[in-house]
Amino acid sequence: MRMIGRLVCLTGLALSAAPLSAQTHADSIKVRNDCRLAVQVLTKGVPGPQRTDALNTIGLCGSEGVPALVAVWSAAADDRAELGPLVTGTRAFVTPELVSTLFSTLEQPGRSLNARVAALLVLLTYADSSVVPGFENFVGDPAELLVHHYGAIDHPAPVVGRERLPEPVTERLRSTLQAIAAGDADPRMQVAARVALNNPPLAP
Amino acid sequence: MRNRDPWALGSLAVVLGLVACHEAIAPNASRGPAAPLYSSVADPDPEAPPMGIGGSVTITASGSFLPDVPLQASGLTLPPGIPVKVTVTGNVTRTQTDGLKFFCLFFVDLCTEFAFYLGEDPVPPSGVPVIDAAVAFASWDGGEGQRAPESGAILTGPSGSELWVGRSQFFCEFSWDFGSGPCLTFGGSYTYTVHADSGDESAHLVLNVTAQSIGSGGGTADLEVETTDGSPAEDVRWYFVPDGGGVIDGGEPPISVAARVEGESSGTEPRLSIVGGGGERMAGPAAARAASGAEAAASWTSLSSCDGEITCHATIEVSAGTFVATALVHDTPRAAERRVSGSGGGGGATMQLECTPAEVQRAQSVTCTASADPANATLVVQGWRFSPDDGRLRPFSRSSGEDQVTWAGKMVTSGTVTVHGTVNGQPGEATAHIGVTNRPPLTVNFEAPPVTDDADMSERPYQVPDQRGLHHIGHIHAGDHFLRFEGRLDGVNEGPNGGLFYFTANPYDPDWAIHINLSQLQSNSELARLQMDNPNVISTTVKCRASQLPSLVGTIEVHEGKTMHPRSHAGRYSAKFNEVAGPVIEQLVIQDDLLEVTRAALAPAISAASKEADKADDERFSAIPCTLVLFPAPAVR
Repeated sequence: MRMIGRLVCLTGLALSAAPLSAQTHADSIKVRNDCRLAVQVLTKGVPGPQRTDALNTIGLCGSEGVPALVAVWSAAADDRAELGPLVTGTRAFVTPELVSTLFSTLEQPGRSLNARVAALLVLLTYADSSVVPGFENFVGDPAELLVHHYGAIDHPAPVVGRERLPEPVTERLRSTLQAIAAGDADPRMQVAARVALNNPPLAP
Repeated sequence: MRNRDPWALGSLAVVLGLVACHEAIAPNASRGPAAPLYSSVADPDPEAPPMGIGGSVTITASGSFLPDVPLQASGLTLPPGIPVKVTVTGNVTRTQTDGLKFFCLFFVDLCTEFAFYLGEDPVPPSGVPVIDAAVAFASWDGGEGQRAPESGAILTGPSGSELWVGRSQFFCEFSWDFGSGPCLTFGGSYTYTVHADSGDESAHLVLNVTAQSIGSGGGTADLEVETTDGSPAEDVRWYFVPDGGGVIDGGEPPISVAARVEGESSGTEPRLSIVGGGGERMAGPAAARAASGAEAAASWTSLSSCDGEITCHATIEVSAGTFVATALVHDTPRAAERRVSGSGGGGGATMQLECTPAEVQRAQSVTCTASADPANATLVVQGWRFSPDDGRLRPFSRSSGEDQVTWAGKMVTSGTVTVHGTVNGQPGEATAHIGVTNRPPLTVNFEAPPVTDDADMSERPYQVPDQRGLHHIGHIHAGDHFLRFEGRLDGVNEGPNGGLFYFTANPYDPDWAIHINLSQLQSNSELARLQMDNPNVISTTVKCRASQLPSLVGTIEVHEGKTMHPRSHAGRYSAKFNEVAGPVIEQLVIQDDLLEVTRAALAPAISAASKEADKADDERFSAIPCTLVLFPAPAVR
């Protein structure tokens, strides 16, 4: 509702004066080339030194980048330096395959804490694009985490494809987190789930 | 049998003390209280039935001279050996006479020095200190008199068969060239009441009437004893004490006072004579009254056929009275009383409740006091309850000191106080409403949000067409906050709001931040390379140049609220939040689930503040003065 309300009443941009489609650079060939390279780097691992650039690019690649993102998420470890751009890139667009991969990452007790929290960060933004929390909201001193709250931001994240999802992720995310909060093997993940359930967009 | 010497010695010592204080006021040492004062004391009505447990006897005060009321049988009888508490309530009032006021116009220093004795404050049963004037005292069966303490019962423990009561004298006279006269006019009374000692908080002995059929000529009652902790009541014994009441006229005896004043009015020096303590003792008349009382004492009845049982079916031949049961509770003698009446309603007596002040500002204190009407009716308080006006809060009962006649403490939410118990043995309750008004709103001191780069922003900023704002250029996490309770939440320890919590400061601690894509708002960034070199040659809109990007940072900061401009996101958020949340938190009272209740209370304020903050975009406050060219948004098929 929040998103719809904003779209209805605010068709103009506060910070830009013209339709964004007209602002887009006419020559996007560089982006397409970068995407091809990013997909190759992320799926085949070569050339290795360009992995960071690939993670920063893959978010602009849309459907073309889905197989690469699924591959990266399936193998994501605990390194926040890599998970950060992965979260940012994945928030750029959404497809059913990505949703499935993210829930799989979130639900598996065998995955690392930071990987599971990273999947949670993206899924929360998929549920409400004005909710863009960070790792620090979910990992840390439980006593502090449970009295901290994050709110909506003023300029929502531009998540392409949300409207095309067969069903919103909100209810599935809530039930998944309730199960994690109730009995996940990792108590830190239980806390992270409780934090998410106490904040937008899942809080009652 | 009685030892009254201490009273007489007290009187003498005080008179001498006054002499030492001021030569000019040396009282005439021979001016002790006149001997035959008892002659004015009315005998208890010989026709009146004994009063027993729950009954009372009153010694009145009137006139300008309070005579000594020797310890005497009150007519208040009960079975001996009952655990009881005897209390004395009421007071003796005193008003300065016109003669004294005139006298004091001339002898100001003298009157000032003795202001304590000449004041108009009511005298409690413990009497006027130092001179022991108007002290109430009591004993069992003519034993040594016990003086009333400043608080608590005058007699406790096993009863005798009859209560004896008395009061010391109080008299003040001025004398000078223009004559003499009394200083004060007295009024009021002391009331002596006997209550069963039912035990402490851990185990009360309770006597219940399970059924009764009593009319003006008597009837039957079914009774049962129990203990509040479920422990056995052993060696139960049953009694019935018929109703009654007694008044002893303790006012001025006209003849003896006239004789006394006449004897003391000589002399030319100004003089104040104040007399307290006990007078001479006249054993004869007191003994006669004791005999009268002993005769009446035969009226109470032992219901011996019920002894040893915890229930009793009793038949009485009078319309009202008090059943008494004694028992061993945890090997300690206890007693319980229950008045029954054929007329119902405790003889018309009712329970009253007053809470003062009736309205207070949140966190100020109130005292609720239960009383009986008439005041000499026997009041037994059994419990208190508070029902909040706020439907979110649950009603609750007082958890300790339930039998106290007052319930006092800090108030944080409006509601109705209810006290219940018995008046003259009949169940009753009374209610009083307490209103709580608001303090000033508890607002948050919002400091300007910090500005940082954000790793979560794309290095290639893009935007979905028709979506407001440029997320990857700048945004504010306006609603991020901590909830802090330490030093901001206070609890009410006792009273009608005991156990409730309220805020002394707003728990909302802003943790907001402005995120700006500082790395891309540079003249040599990837975003800069997207901007046209000479953008305005063929364009109808003003497009940003690469060299312009660094200057946009300040514009975006102001838009988001780094300066707390009232039209910025942050300025609008903070103002609306305080407008809505300030009063909400000030009024928020918490019974349990602190975090959840506080979250729920703040949610509407956060929502309203967020909506208000959006207006910074609606109004294009501090908008970027040119159009940025962004990367193409990802395409999803």
